[in-house]
Amino acid sequence: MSACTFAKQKLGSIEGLSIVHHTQSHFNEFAIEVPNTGKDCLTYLESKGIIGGFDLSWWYPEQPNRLLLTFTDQTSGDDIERLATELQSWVSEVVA
Amino acid sequence: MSHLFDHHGAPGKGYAQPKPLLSRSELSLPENLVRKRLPRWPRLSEPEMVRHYTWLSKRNFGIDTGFYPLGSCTMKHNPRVNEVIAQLPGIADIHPHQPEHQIQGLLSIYYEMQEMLSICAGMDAVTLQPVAGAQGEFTAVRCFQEYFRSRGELQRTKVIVPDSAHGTNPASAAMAGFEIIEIPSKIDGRIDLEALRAVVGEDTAAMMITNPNTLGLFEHDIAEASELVHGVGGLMYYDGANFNAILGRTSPGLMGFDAVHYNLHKTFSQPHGGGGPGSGPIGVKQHLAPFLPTPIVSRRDAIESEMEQAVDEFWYTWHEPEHTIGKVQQWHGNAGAIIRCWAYYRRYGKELRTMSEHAVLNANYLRHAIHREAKAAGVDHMFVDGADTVVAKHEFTLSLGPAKEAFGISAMDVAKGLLDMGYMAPTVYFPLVVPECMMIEPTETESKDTLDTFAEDFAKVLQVDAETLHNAPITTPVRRVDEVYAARNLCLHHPFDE
Repeated sequence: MSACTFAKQKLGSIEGLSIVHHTQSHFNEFAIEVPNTGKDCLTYLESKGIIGGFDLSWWYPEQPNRLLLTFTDQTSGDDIERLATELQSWVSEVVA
Repeated sequence: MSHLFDHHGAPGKGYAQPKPLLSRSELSLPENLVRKRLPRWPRLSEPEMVRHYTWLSKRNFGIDTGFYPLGSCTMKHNPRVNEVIAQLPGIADIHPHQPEHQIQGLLSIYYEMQEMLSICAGMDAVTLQPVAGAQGEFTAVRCFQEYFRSRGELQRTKVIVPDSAHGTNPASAAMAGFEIIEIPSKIDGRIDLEALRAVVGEDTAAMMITNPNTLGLFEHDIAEASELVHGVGGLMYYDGANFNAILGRTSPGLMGFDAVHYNLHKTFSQPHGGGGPGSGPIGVKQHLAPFLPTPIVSRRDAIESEMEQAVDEFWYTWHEPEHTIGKVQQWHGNAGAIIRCWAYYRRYGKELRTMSEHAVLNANYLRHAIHREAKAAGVDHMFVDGADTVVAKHEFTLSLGPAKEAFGISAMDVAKGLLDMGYMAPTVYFPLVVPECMMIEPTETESKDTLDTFAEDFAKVLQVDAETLHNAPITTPVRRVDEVYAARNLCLHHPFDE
Protein backbone atom coordinates (compact mmCIF):
# COMPACT_ATOMS: atom_id res chain seq x y z
CA MET A 1 0.00 0.00 0.00
CA SER A 2 2.91 2.27 0.69
CA ALA A 3 4.34 1.69 -2.81
CA CYS A 4 0.89 2.14 -4.32
CA THR A 5 0.32 5.43 -2.54
CA PHE A 6 3.82 6.59 -3.48
CA ALA A 7 3.06 5.76 -7.13
CA LYS A 8 -0.26 7.58 -6.91
CA GLN A 9 1.54 10.71 -5.77
CA LYS A 10 4.19 10.46 -8.49
CA LEU A 11 1.86 9.64 -11.37
CA GLY A 12 -0.85 11.99 -10.14
CA SER A 13 1.54 14.89 -10.49
CA ILE A 14 1.96 14.31 -14.24
CA GLU A 15 -0.04 16.89 -16.12
CA GLY A 16 -2.31 15.32 -18.74
CA LEU A 17 -2.61 12.03 -16.87
CA SER A 18 -5.19 11.41 -14.15
CA ILE A 19 -5.78 8.86 -11.41
CA VAL A 20 -9.24 7.28 -11.68
CA HIS A 21 -11.12 7.68 -8.37
CA HIS A 22 -8.14 9.62 -7.06
CA THR A 23 -9.88 10.63 -3.83
CA GLN A 24 -10.49 7.03 -2.82
CA SER A 25 -8.14 4.78 -0.86
CA HIS A 26 -6.27 2.27 -2.94
CA PHE A 27 -4.69 -0.84 -1.56
CA ASN A 28 -2.26 -2.20 -4.14
CA GLU A 29 -3.54 -0.99 -7.49
CA PHE A 30 -5.29 1.87 -9.22
CA ALA A 31 -6.32 2.91 -12.72
CA ILE A 32 -4.95 5.82 -14.69
CA GLU A 33 -6.47 7.68 -17.62
CA VAL A 34 -3.99 8.60 -20.33
CA PRO A 35 -4.29 11.14 -23.15
CA ASN A 36 -4.20 8.55 -25.92
CA THR A 37 -5.01 4.85 -26.09
CA GLY A 38 -3.73 2.64 -23.31
CA LYS A 39 -2.33 0.37 -25.99
CA ASP A 40 -0.18 3.17 -27.42
CA CYS A 41 1.05 4.05 -23.94
CA LEU A 42 2.00 0.42 -23.21
CA THR A 43 3.81 0.14 -26.54
CA TYR A 44 5.91 3.18 -25.65
CA LEU A 45 6.68 1.90 -22.16
CA GLU A 46 7.63 -1.52 -23.54
CA SER A 47 10.13 0.18 -25.85
CA LYS A 48 11.68 1.56 -22.67
CA GLY A 49 11.79 -1.87 -20.99
CA ILE A 50 8.72 -1.41 -18.82
CA ILE A 51 5.61 -3.62 -18.78
CA GLY A 52 3.40 -0.75 -17.85
CA GLY A 53 0.14 -2.25 -16.69
CA PHE A 54 -3.03 -3.90 -17.85
CA ASP A 55 -4.94 -2.37 -20.75
CA LEU A 56 -8.48 -2.16 -19.40
CA SER A 57 -9.91 -2.05 -22.92
CA TRP A 58 -9.37 -5.83 -22.99
CA TRP A 59 -12.25 -6.15 -20.57
CA TYR A 60 -13.99 -2.82 -21.15
CA PRO A 61 -13.80 -1.77 -24.81
CA GLU A 62 -15.55 1.47 -23.92
CA GLN A 63 -12.50 2.47 -21.87
CA PRO A 64 -9.69 2.54 -24.45
CA ASN A 65 -7.53 5.01 -22.54
CA ARG A 66 -7.36 3.43 -19.10
CA LEU A 67 -4.61 1.28 -17.63
CA LEU A 68 -4.60 -0.68 -14.38
CA LEU A 69 -1.31 -0.55 -12.48
CA THR A 70 -0.39 -2.77 -9.56
CA PHE A 71 2.37 -2.29 -7.00
CA THR A 72 3.73 -4.70 -4.43
CA ASP A 73 6.31 -4.77 -1.67
CA GLN A 74 8.74 -5.85 -4.39
CA THR A 75 8.26 -2.59 -6.34
CA SER A 76 11.10 -0.21 -5.54
CA GLY A 77 10.98 3.54 -5.32
CA ASP A 78 13.44 3.67 -8.22
CA ASP A 79 11.09 1.57 -10.37
CA ILE A 80 8.24 3.95 -9.66
CA GLU A 81 10.40 7.01 -10.34
CA ARG A 82 11.45 5.56 -13.70
CA LEU A 83 7.85 4.72 -14.60
CA ALA A 84 6.82 8.26 -13.78
CA THR A 85 9.67 9.70 -15.84
CA GLU A 86 8.80 7.61 -18.91
CA LEU A 87 5.09 8.32 -18.58
CA GLN A 88 5.90 12.04 -18.36
CA SER A 89 7.94 11.78 -21.58
CA TRP A 90 5.17 9.92 -23.40
CA VAL A 91 2.44 12.32 -22.23
CA SER A 92 4.58 15.27 -23.34
CA GLU A 93 4.97 13.73 -26.81
CA VAL A 94 1.29 12.90 -27.11
CA VAL A 95 -0.04 16.21 -25.85
CA ALA A 96 2.38 18.16 -28.02
CA MET B 1 7.66 -27.48 20.22
CA SER B 2 4.69 -27.93 17.90
CA HIS B 3 4.25 -24.66 16.05
CA LEU B 4 5.69 -21.26 15.33
CA PHE B 5 3.77 -19.52 18.08
CA ASP B 6 5.47 -21.55 20.78
CA HIS B 7 8.75 -19.76 20.08
CA HIS B 8 9.53 -16.64 22.08
CA GLY B 9 13.15 -16.22 21.17
CA ALA B 10 12.84 -12.64 19.95
CA PRO B 11 11.03 -10.51 22.52
CA GLY B 12 8.86 -7.78 21.06
CA LYS B 13 9.20 -8.87 17.49
CA GLY B 14 11.27 -11.29 15.49
CA TYR B 15 10.11 -10.33 12.06
CA ALA B 16 11.44 -7.67 9.73
CA GLN B 17 9.62 -5.85 6.98
CA PRO B 18 11.03 -3.76 4.16
CA LYS B 19 11.25 -0.07 4.89
CA PRO B 20 8.09 1.48 3.45
CA LEU B 21 8.35 4.21 0.81
CA LEU B 22 5.93 6.36 2.81
CA SER B 23 5.27 6.69 6.49
CA ARG B 24 2.02 5.59 8.05
CA SER B 25 0.79 9.18 8.35
CA GLU B 26 1.18 9.67 4.59
CA LEU B 27 -1.15 6.75 3.76
CA SER B 28 -4.84 7.46 3.47
CA LEU B 29 -6.06 4.47 5.42
CA PRO B 30 -9.77 4.42 6.27
CA GLU B 31 -10.01 4.51 10.04
CA ASN B 32 -12.19 1.41 10.26
CA LEU B 33 -9.49 -0.64 8.54
CA VAL B 34 -6.67 0.35 10.86
CA ARG B 35 -5.52 -2.39 13.26
CA LYS B 36 -6.25 -1.84 16.91
CA ARG B 37 -3.35 -4.09 17.96
CA LEU B 38 -0.30 -5.64 16.39
CA PRO B 39 -0.86 -8.86 14.44
CA ARG B 40 0.01 -12.10 16.24
CA TRP B 41 2.98 -12.84 14.10
CA PRO B 42 5.38 -15.48 15.40
CA ARG B 43 8.40 -14.11 17.25
CA LEU B 44 11.27 -16.01 15.74
CA SER B 45 14.80 -15.16 14.81
CA GLU B 46 15.96 -16.43 11.43
CA PRO B 47 17.81 -19.49 12.79
CA GLU B 48 14.77 -20.41 14.87
CA MET B 49 12.60 -20.13 11.80
CA VAL B 50 14.97 -22.34 9.78
CA ARG B 51 15.05 -24.91 12.59
CA HIS B 52 11.28 -24.92 12.83
CA TYR B 53 10.70 -25.65 9.16
CA THR B 54 13.52 -28.17 9.02
CA TRP B 55 11.92 -29.92 12.03
CA LEU B 56 8.56 -29.88 10.25
CA SER B 57 10.07 -31.26 7.04
CA LYS B 58 11.50 -34.19 9.01
CA ARG B 59 7.98 -35.12 10.07
CA ASN B 60 6.98 -35.59 6.43
CA PHE B 61 7.51 -38.70 4.39
CA GLY B 62 8.20 -38.05 0.74
CA ILE B 63 9.78 -39.56 -2.34
CA ASP B 64 13.00 -37.78 -1.33
CA THR B 65 13.08 -39.54 2.05
CA GLY B 66 12.17 -43.09 1.10
CA PHE B 67 10.65 -45.64 -1.26
CA TYR B 68 7.07 -44.64 -2.08
CA PRO B 69 5.27 -47.54 -3.84
CA LEU B 70 1.82 -45.96 -3.65
CA GLY B 71 -0.19 -47.80 -6.29
CA SER B 72 -1.98 -45.68 -8.89
CA CYS B 73 -0.04 -42.56 -7.89
CA THR B 74 3.21 -43.02 -9.89
CA MET B 75 5.47 -41.48 -7.27
CA LYS B 76 8.60 -41.34 -9.39
CA HIS B 77 11.70 -39.25 -8.80
CA ASN B 78 11.30 -35.63 -9.85
CA PRO B 79 14.46 -34.52 -11.66
CA ARG B 80 15.78 -31.28 -10.18
CA VAL B 81 16.56 -29.88 -13.61
CA ASN B 82 12.80 -29.46 -14.05
CA GLU B 83 12.80 -26.98 -11.17
CA VAL B 84 15.71 -25.03 -12.61
CA ILE B 85 13.88 -24.62 -15.91
CA ALA B 86 10.52 -23.77 -14.31
CA GLN B 87 12.21 -21.02 -12.31
CA LEU B 88 13.93 -19.29 -15.21
CA PRO B 89 12.91 -15.61 -15.05
CA GLY B 90 11.41 -15.63 -18.54
CA ILE B 91 9.06 -18.38 -17.40
CA ALA B 92 8.49 -17.79 -13.70
CA ASP B 93 8.12 -14.01 -13.86
CA ILE B 94 5.54 -13.60 -16.59
CA HIS B 95 1.86 -12.84 -16.12
CA PRO B 96 -1.05 -14.55 -17.85
CA HIS B 97 -2.38 -11.20 -18.99
CA GLN B 98 0.72 -10.28 -20.93
CA PRO B 99 0.08 -9.88 -24.67
CA GLU B 100 1.07 -12.71 -26.98
CA HIS B 101 4.11 -10.98 -28.43
CA GLN B 102 5.71 -10.90 -24.97
CA ILE B 103 5.20 -14.59 -24.20
CA GLN B 104 6.08 -16.38 -27.44
CA GLY B 105 8.47 -18.65 -25.52
CA LEU B 106 5.78 -19.89 -23.14
CA LEU B 107 3.26 -20.27 -25.95
CA SER B 108 5.73 -22.35 -27.94
CA ILE B 109 6.18 -24.65 -24.92
CA TYR B 110 2.41 -25.03 -24.61
CA TYR B 111 2.12 -25.79 -28.31
CA GLU B 112 4.90 -28.36 -28.16
CA MET B 113 3.24 -30.05 -25.20
CA GLN B 114 -0.09 -30.15 -27.07
CA GLU B 115 1.61 -31.74 -30.08
CA MET B 116 3.68 -34.20 -28.05
CA LEU B 117 0.67 -35.36 -26.05
CA SER B 118 -1.43 -35.69 -29.20
CA ILE B 119 1.21 -37.93 -30.75
CA CYS B 120 1.68 -40.02 -27.59
CA ALA B 121 -2.05 -40.71 -27.31
CA GLY B 122 -2.96 -40.87 -31.00
CA MET B 123 -5.30 -37.90 -30.65
CA ASP B 124 -5.86 -34.83 -32.86
CA ALA B 125 -6.15 -31.96 -30.35
CA VAL B 126 -5.15 -31.31 -26.74
CA THR B 127 -6.08 -28.80 -24.06
CA LEU B 128 -3.65 -28.22 -21.20
CA GLN B 129 -6.22 -26.46 -19.05
CA PRO B 130 -7.45 -29.09 -16.54
CA VAL B 131 -5.31 -29.21 -13.40
CA ALA B 132 -6.12 -32.74 -12.26
CA GLY B 133 -6.96 -36.08 -13.81
CA ALA B 134 -10.50 -35.95 -12.47
CA GLN B 135 -10.95 -32.46 -13.89
CA GLY B 136 -9.74 -33.81 -17.21
CA GLU B 137 -12.39 -36.52 -17.03
CA PHE B 138 -15.07 -33.94 -16.28
CA THR B 139 -13.84 -31.74 -19.13
CA ALA B 140 -13.98 -34.65 -21.56
CA VAL B 141 -17.48 -35.80 -20.61
CA ARG B 142 -18.66 -32.19 -20.89
CA CYS B 143 -17.21 -32.16 -24.42
CA PHE B 144 -19.09 -35.43 -25.08
CA GLN B 145 -22.28 -33.83 -23.79
CA GLU B 146 -21.98 -30.80 -26.06
CA TYR B 147 -21.03 -33.02 -28.99
CA PHE B 148 -24.24 -35.04 -28.59
CA ARG B 149 -26.31 -31.88 -28.09
CA SER B 150 -24.90 -30.48 -31.34
CA ARG B 151 -26.10 -33.64 -33.09
CA GLY B 152 -29.51 -33.59 -31.41
CA GLU B 153 -28.80 -36.90 -29.65
CA LEU B 154 -30.26 -35.86 -26.33
CA GLN B 155 -31.26 -39.42 -25.41
CA ARG B 156 -27.64 -40.34 -24.69
CA THR B 157 -27.74 -40.03 -20.92
CA LYS B 158 -25.79 -43.07 -19.73
CA VAL B 159 -22.09 -43.63 -19.10
CA ILE B 160 -20.80 -47.18 -18.66
CA VAL B 161 -18.02 -47.78 -16.14
CA PRO B 162 -16.43 -51.14 -15.18
CA ASP B 163 -16.31 -51.84 -11.44
CA SER B 164 -12.51 -51.86 -11.54
CA ALA B 165 -12.35 -48.24 -12.79
CA HIS B 166 -10.89 -45.33 -10.90
CA GLY B 167 -13.59 -43.95 -8.61
CA THR B 168 -13.26 -40.55 -10.22
CA ASN B 169 -14.64 -41.91 -13.53
CA PRO B 170 -18.24 -42.37 -12.36
CA ALA B 171 -17.95 -39.29 -10.15
CA SER B 172 -16.93 -37.06 -13.07
CA ALA B 173 -19.68 -38.38 -15.35
CA ALA B 174 -22.30 -38.03 -12.61
CA MET B 175 -21.15 -34.48 -11.95
CA ALA B 176 -21.80 -33.67 -15.60
CA GLY B 177 -25.32 -35.08 -15.23
CA PHE B 178 -24.94 -38.56 -16.72
CA GLU B 179 -26.46 -41.71 -15.27
CA ILE B 180 -23.80 -44.27 -14.35
CA ILE B 181 -24.11 -47.88 -15.45
CA GLU B 182 -21.59 -50.07 -13.64
CA ILE B 183 -20.67 -53.39 -15.18
CA PRO B 184 -18.90 -56.22 -13.34
CA SER B 185 -15.39 -57.34 -14.28
CA LYS B 186 -14.53 -60.87 -15.29
CA ILE B 187 -12.92 -63.21 -12.77
CA ASP B 188 -9.48 -62.08 -13.99
CA GLY B 189 -10.35 -58.43 -13.34
CA ARG B 190 -10.70 -57.45 -17.00
CA ILE B 191 -13.70 -56.09 -18.94
CA ASP B 192 -16.58 -58.50 -19.37
CA LEU B 193 -17.65 -58.02 -23.00
CA GLU B 194 -20.89 -59.90 -22.42
CA ALA B 195 -21.80 -57.59 -19.56
CA LEU B 196 -20.96 -54.63 -21.79
CA ARG B 197 -22.99 -56.02 -24.68
CA ALA B 198 -25.98 -56.31 -22.36
CA VAL B 199 -26.05 -52.62 -21.44
CA VAL B 200 -25.03 -50.71 -24.60
CA GLY B 201 -27.80 -49.06 -26.56
CA GLU B 202 -29.14 -45.87 -28.08
CA ASP B 203 -29.00 -44.19 -24.68
CA THR B 204 -25.26 -44.89 -24.30
CA ALA B 205 -23.25 -41.69 -24.26
CA ALA B 206 -19.88 -43.18 -23.42
CA MET B 207 -17.80 -45.83 -21.77
CA MET B 208 -14.94 -44.85 -19.48
CA ILE B 209 -12.06 -47.28 -19.14
CA THR B 210 -8.90 -47.18 -17.04
CA ASN B 211 -6.17 -49.01 -18.95
CA PRO B 212 -4.06 -50.68 -17.69
CA ASN B 213 -6.80 -51.18 -15.14
CA THR B 214 -6.48 -50.75 -11.41
CA LEU B 215 -5.32 -54.34 -11.07
CA GLY B 216 -2.37 -53.43 -13.26
CA LEU B 217 -3.72 -55.49 -16.16
CA PHE B 218 -3.85 -54.49 -19.79
CA GLU B 219 -7.38 -54.87 -21.14
CA HIS B 220 -7.09 -57.55 -23.83
CA ASP B 221 -10.55 -56.85 -25.22
CA ILE B 222 -10.23 -53.11 -25.39
CA ALA B 223 -10.56 -52.87 -29.19
CA GLU B 224 -13.72 -55.03 -29.07
CA ALA B 225 -15.14 -52.84 -26.31
CA SER B 226 -14.51 -49.78 -28.49
CA GLU B 227 -16.29 -51.44 -31.41
CA LEU B 228 -19.29 -52.33 -29.26
CA VAL B 229 -19.72 -48.80 -27.91
CA HIS B 230 -19.04 -47.12 -31.25
CA GLY B 231 -21.47 -49.55 -32.84
CA VAL B 232 -24.35 -47.95 -30.94
CA GLY B 233 -23.06 -44.41 -31.50
CA GLY B 234 -21.37 -43.95 -28.11
CA LEU B 235 -17.93 -42.50 -27.37
CA MET B 236 -14.92 -44.07 -25.64
CA TYR B 237 -13.02 -42.37 -22.84
CA TYR B 238 -9.55 -43.49 -21.78
CA ASP B 239 -8.43 -42.77 -18.22
CA GLY B 240 -4.72 -42.18 -18.78
CA ALA B 241 -3.70 -42.15 -15.13
CA ASN B 242 -1.74 -45.31 -15.84
CA PHE B 243 -0.02 -43.94 -18.95
CA ASN B 244 3.32 -44.73 -17.35
CA ALA B 245 2.75 -48.32 -18.47
CA ILE B 246 2.17 -47.73 -22.17
CA LEU B 247 3.95 -44.54 -23.25
CA GLY B 248 5.60 -45.07 -26.62
CA ARG B 249 4.36 -48.67 -26.87
CA THR B 250 0.75 -48.13 -27.92
CA SER B 251 -1.86 -45.39 -27.74
CA PRO B 252 -5.53 -44.86 -26.89
CA GLY B 253 -6.02 -43.64 -30.46
CA LEU B 254 -4.93 -47.04 -31.79
CA MET B 255 -7.39 -48.67 -29.41
CA GLY B 256 -10.28 -46.67 -30.84
CA PHE B 257 -10.72 -44.07 -28.12
CA ASP B 258 -12.24 -40.65 -28.68
CA ALA B 259 -10.74 -38.89 -25.66
CA VAL B 260 -8.08 -39.41 -23.03
CA HIS B 261 -6.71 -37.59 -20.05
CA TYR B 262 -3.07 -37.51 -19.03
CA ASN B 263 -1.88 -37.12 -15.45
CA LEU B 264 1.20 -35.09 -16.29
CA HIS B 265 2.16 -34.98 -12.61
CA LYS B 266 2.41 -38.77 -12.60
CA THR B 267 3.77 -39.79 -15.98
CA PHE B 268 5.93 -36.77 -16.69
CA SER B 269 7.21 -36.12 -13.15
CA GLN B 270 6.00 -33.25 -11.03
CA PRO B 271 6.00 -33.24 -7.25
CA HIS B 272 2.48 -34.14 -6.15
CA GLY B 273 0.56 -35.50 -3.22
CA GLY B 274 -1.94 -34.33 -0.67
CA GLY B 275 -4.26 -33.07 -3.38
CA GLY B 276 -1.93 -31.35 -5.80
CA PRO B 277 -0.43 -29.61 -7.60
CA GLY B 278 -1.39 -31.47 -10.72
CA SER B 279 -2.03 -31.16 -14.41
CA GLY B 280 -4.63 -33.25 -16.23
CA PRO B 281 -4.72 -32.27 -19.94
CA ILE B 282 -7.06 -34.11 -22.26
CA GLY B 283 -6.63 -35.17 -25.85
CA VAL B 284 -9.51 -35.72 -28.24
CA LYS B 285 -10.17 -36.90 -31.76
CA GLN B 286 -11.04 -34.32 -34.42
CA HIS B 287 -14.83 -34.58 -34.01
CA LEU B 288 -14.52 -33.39 -30.39
CA ALA B 289 -11.87 -30.72 -30.94
CA PRO B 290 -14.35 -27.84 -31.50
CA PHE B 291 -15.71 -28.36 -27.97
CA LEU B 292 -12.43 -28.15 -26.02
CA PRO B 293 -12.06 -25.50 -23.32
CA THR B 294 -10.65 -22.16 -24.35
CA PRO B 295 -7.94 -21.15 -24.99
CA ILE B 296 -5.56 -23.55 -26.68
CA VAL B 297 -2.41 -22.55 -28.54
CA SER B 298 -2.17 -22.54 -32.31
CA ARG B 299 0.78 -21.80 -34.59
CA ARG B 300 1.45 -20.15 -37.94
CA ASP B 301 4.47 -18.90 -39.84
CA ALA B 302 5.72 -15.60 -38.48
CA ILE B 303 5.62 -12.54 -40.71
CA GLU B 304 8.56 -10.18 -41.18
CA SER B 305 7.59 -7.75 -38.42
CA GLU B 306 7.25 -10.60 -35.90
CA MET B 307 10.64 -12.20 -36.44
CA GLU B 308 12.28 -10.52 -33.45
CA GLN B 309 10.00 -12.26 -30.96
CA ALA B 310 9.13 -15.34 -33.03
CA VAL B 311 10.38 -18.77 -31.97
CA ASP B 312 12.06 -20.65 -34.85
CA GLU B 313 10.18 -18.38 -37.28
CA PHE B 314 6.81 -19.48 -35.90
CA TRP B 315 4.19 -17.25 -34.30
CA TYR B 316 2.01 -18.63 -31.52
CA THR B 317 -1.44 -17.37 -30.54
CA TRP B 318 -4.21 -18.22 -28.12
CA HIS B 319 -7.11 -19.81 -29.95
CA GLU B 320 -10.75 -20.33 -28.98
CA PRO B 321 -12.32 -23.55 -30.33
CA GLU B 322 -15.48 -22.92 -32.34
CA HIS B 323 -18.00 -24.54 -29.96
CA THR B 324 -15.94 -24.40 -26.78
CA ILE B 325 -17.48 -25.55 -23.51
CA GLY B 326 -15.80 -22.46 -21.99
CA LYS B 327 -13.28 -22.37 -19.18
CA VAL B 328 -12.66 -25.19 -16.73
CA GLN B 329 -9.80 -23.45 -14.96
CA GLN B 330 -8.58 -19.94 -14.41
CA TRP B 331 -5.81 -18.61 -16.62
CA HIS B 332 -4.08 -21.29 -18.67
CA GLY B 333 -3.98 -24.34 -16.43
CA ASN B 334 -1.20 -25.14 -14.00
CA ALA B 335 1.61 -23.52 -15.96
CA GLY B 336 4.33 -24.51 -13.47
CA ALA B 337 3.42 -28.19 -13.74
CA ILE B 338 3.22 -28.00 -17.53
CA ILE B 339 6.70 -26.45 -17.71
CA ARG B 340 8.25 -29.09 -15.45
CA CYS B 341 6.64 -31.87 -17.47
CA TRP B 342 7.81 -30.24 -20.70
CA ALA B 343 11.36 -30.17 -19.30
CA TYR B 344 11.05 -33.86 -18.44
CA TYR B 345 9.78 -34.74 -21.89
CA ARG B 346 12.53 -32.69 -23.60
CA ARG B 347 15.15 -34.44 -21.49
CA TYR B 348 14.04 -37.92 -22.56
CA GLY B 349 12.32 -37.56 -25.94
CA LYS B 350 11.81 -40.94 -27.58
CA GLU B 351 13.51 -42.57 -24.58
CA LEU B 352 10.19 -42.17 -22.78
CA ARG B 353 9.38 -45.52 -24.33
CA THR B 354 12.26 -47.02 -22.36
CA MET B 355 10.89 -45.30 -19.27
CA SER B 356 7.61 -47.19 -19.65
CA GLU B 357 9.41 -50.46 -20.28
CA HIS B 358 11.42 -50.03 -17.09
CA ALA B 359 8.31 -49.13 -15.10
CA VAL B 360 6.68 -52.39 -16.18
CA LEU B 361 9.89 -54.35 -15.63
CA ASN B 362 10.30 -52.95 -12.11
CA ALA B 363 6.71 -53.77 -11.18
CA ASN B 364 6.97 -57.33 -12.39
CA TYR B 365 10.39 -57.81 -10.79
CA LEU B 366 9.10 -56.54 -7.45
CA ARG B 367 6.07 -58.77 -7.60
CA HIS B 368 8.26 -61.83 -8.09
CA ALA B 369 10.78 -60.63 -5.50
CA ILE B 370 8.04 -60.32 -2.87
CA HIS B 371 6.87 -63.86 -3.60
CA ARG B 372 10.49 -65.07 -3.50
CA GLU B 373 11.31 -63.47 -0.16
CA ALA B 374 7.98 -64.47 1.39
CA LYS B 375 8.57 -68.07 0.38
CA ALA B 376 12.10 -68.01 1.80
CA ALA B 377 10.73 -66.65 5.08
CA GLY B 378 7.85 -69.14 5.17
CA VAL B 379 5.10 -66.50 5.00
CA ASP B 380 4.01 -66.95 1.39
CA HIS B 381 0.70 -68.45 2.60
CA MET B 382 -0.38 -65.06 3.96
CA PHE B 383 -1.20 -63.43 0.63
CA VAL B 384 -2.06 -64.17 -2.97
CA ASP B 385 -1.90 -62.19 -6.19
CA GLY B 386 -4.85 -59.84 -6.56
CA ALA B 387 -5.19 -60.88 -10.18
CA ASP B 388 -4.37 -64.13 -11.89
CA THR B 389 -1.90 -63.04 -14.53
CA VAL B 390 1.55 -63.94 -15.77
CA VAL B 391 2.58 -60.34 -16.43
CA ALA B 392 1.29 -57.18 -14.81
CA LYS B 393 1.91 -53.71 -16.16
CA HIS B 394 3.33 -50.82 -14.12
CA GLU B 395 1.63 -51.89 -10.88
CA PHE B 396 0.22 -55.02 -9.30
CA THR B 397 -2.11 -56.02 -6.49
CA LEU B 398 -1.78 -58.47 -3.63
CA SER B 399 -4.61 -59.76 -1.48
CA LEU B 400 -3.92 -60.11 2.24
CA GLY B 401 -7.18 -62.02 2.51
CA PRO B 402 -5.44 -65.23 3.73
CA ALA B 403 -3.59 -63.32 6.49
CA LYS B 404 -6.82 -61.69 7.59
CA GLU B 405 -8.67 -64.97 7.70
CA ALA B 406 -5.98 -67.01 9.43
CA PHE B 407 -4.35 -64.49 11.75
CA GLY B 408 -6.59 -61.40 11.81
CA ILE B 409 -3.85 -59.40 10.06
CA SER B 410 -5.41 -56.95 7.62
CA ALA B 411 -3.94 -55.13 4.64
CA MET B 412 -4.04 -51.99 6.81
CA ASP B 413 -1.97 -53.74 9.50
CA VAL B 414 0.69 -54.69 6.97
CA ALA B 415 0.63 -51.18 5.52
CA LYS B 416 1.21 -49.71 8.99
CA GLY B 417 3.96 -52.25 9.62
CA LEU B 418 5.70 -51.07 6.46
CA LEU B 419 5.65 -47.51 7.82
CA ASP B 420 7.72 -48.74 10.75
CA MET B 421 10.20 -50.19 8.28
CA GLY B 422 10.68 -46.73 6.75
CA TYR B 423 8.47 -47.05 3.68
CA MET B 424 5.44 -45.25 2.41
CA ALA B 425 2.67 -47.85 2.51
CA PRO B 426 1.24 -49.08 -0.78
CA THR B 427 -2.33 -48.14 -1.63
CA VAL B 428 -4.75 -50.30 0.38
CA TYR B 429 -8.35 -51.36 -0.11
CA PHE B 430 -8.33 -50.32 -3.75
CA PRO B 431 -9.47 -51.59 -6.14
CA LEU B 432 -12.50 -52.79 -4.24
CA VAL B 433 -12.77 -56.00 -6.29
CA VAL B 434 -9.72 -57.47 -4.46
CA PRO B 435 -10.28 -58.43 -0.79
CA GLU B 436 -7.77 -56.89 1.64
CA CYS B 437 -6.12 -55.31 -1.37
CA MET B 438 -2.64 -53.82 -1.49
CA MET B 439 -1.72 -52.05 -4.72
CA ILE B 440 2.00 -51.61 -5.36
CA GLU B 441 3.63 -49.35 -7.98
CA PRO B 442 7.39 -49.02 -7.71
CA THR B 443 7.95 -46.83 -10.83
CA GLU B 444 10.98 -46.96 -13.11
CA THR B 445 13.17 -44.72 -10.98
CA GLU B 446 13.88 -47.25 -8.23
CA SER B 447 16.97 -49.45 -8.30
CA LYS B 448 17.06 -53.25 -8.09
CA ASP B 449 18.67 -52.90 -4.68
CA THR B 450 15.74 -50.82 -3.39
CA LEU B 451 13.24 -53.32 -4.78
CA ASP B 452 15.10 -56.30 -3.26
CA THR B 453 15.33 -54.61 0.13
CA PHE B 454 11.64 -53.72 0.08
CA ALA B 455 10.73 -57.31 -0.79
CA GLU B 456 12.83 -58.58 2.14
CA ASP B 457 11.25 -56.07 4.50
CA PHE B 458 7.77 -56.91 3.25
CA ALA B 459 8.42 -60.54 4.23
CA LYS B 460 9.73 -59.38 7.61
CA VAL B 461 6.52 -57.47 8.30
CA LEU B 462 4.52 -60.61 7.56
CA GLN B 463 6.51 -62.39 10.28
CA VAL B 464 5.44 -59.87 12.93
CA ASP B 465 2.70 -61.07 15.29
CA ALA B 466 -0.82 -59.74 14.87
CA GLU B 467 -0.91 -57.85 18.18
CA THR B 468 2.18 -55.87 17.32
CA LEU B 469 0.92 -55.08 13.83
CA HIS B 470 -2.44 -53.93 15.21
CA ASN B 471 -0.51 -51.25 17.13
CA ALA B 472 1.79 -50.24 14.28
CA PRO B 473 3.19 -47.79 13.48
CA ILE B 474 5.20 -46.99 16.58
CA THR B 475 8.14 -45.13 15.02
CA THR B 476 6.33 -42.42 13.07
CA PRO B 477 5.60 -38.88 14.33
CA VAL B 478 1.89 -39.74 14.33
CA ARG B 479 0.81 -43.23 15.28
CA ARG B 480 -2.28 -45.02 14.03
CA VAL B 481 -5.07 -42.49 13.85
CA ASP B 482 -8.83 -42.81 13.73
CA GLU B 483 -9.13 -41.72 10.11
CA VAL B 484 -12.92 -41.59 10.06
CA TYR B 485 -12.99 -39.40 13.17
CA ALA B 486 -10.24 -37.18 11.73
CA ALA B 487 -12.10 -36.74 8.45
CA ARG B 488 -15.37 -35.88 10.17
CA ASN B 489 -14.00 -33.66 12.92
CA LEU B 490 -11.58 -31.27 11.30
CA CYS B 491 -9.84 -29.01 13.78
CA LEU B 492 -7.53 -26.55 12.06
CA HIS B 493 -7.82 -23.85 14.69
CA HIS B 494 -4.93 -22.81 16.88
CA PRO B 495 -6.07 -22.00 20.43
CA PHE B 496 -4.31 -18.70 21.02
CA ASP B 497 -4.22 -17.39 24.56
CA GLU B 498 -6.68 -14.58 24.15
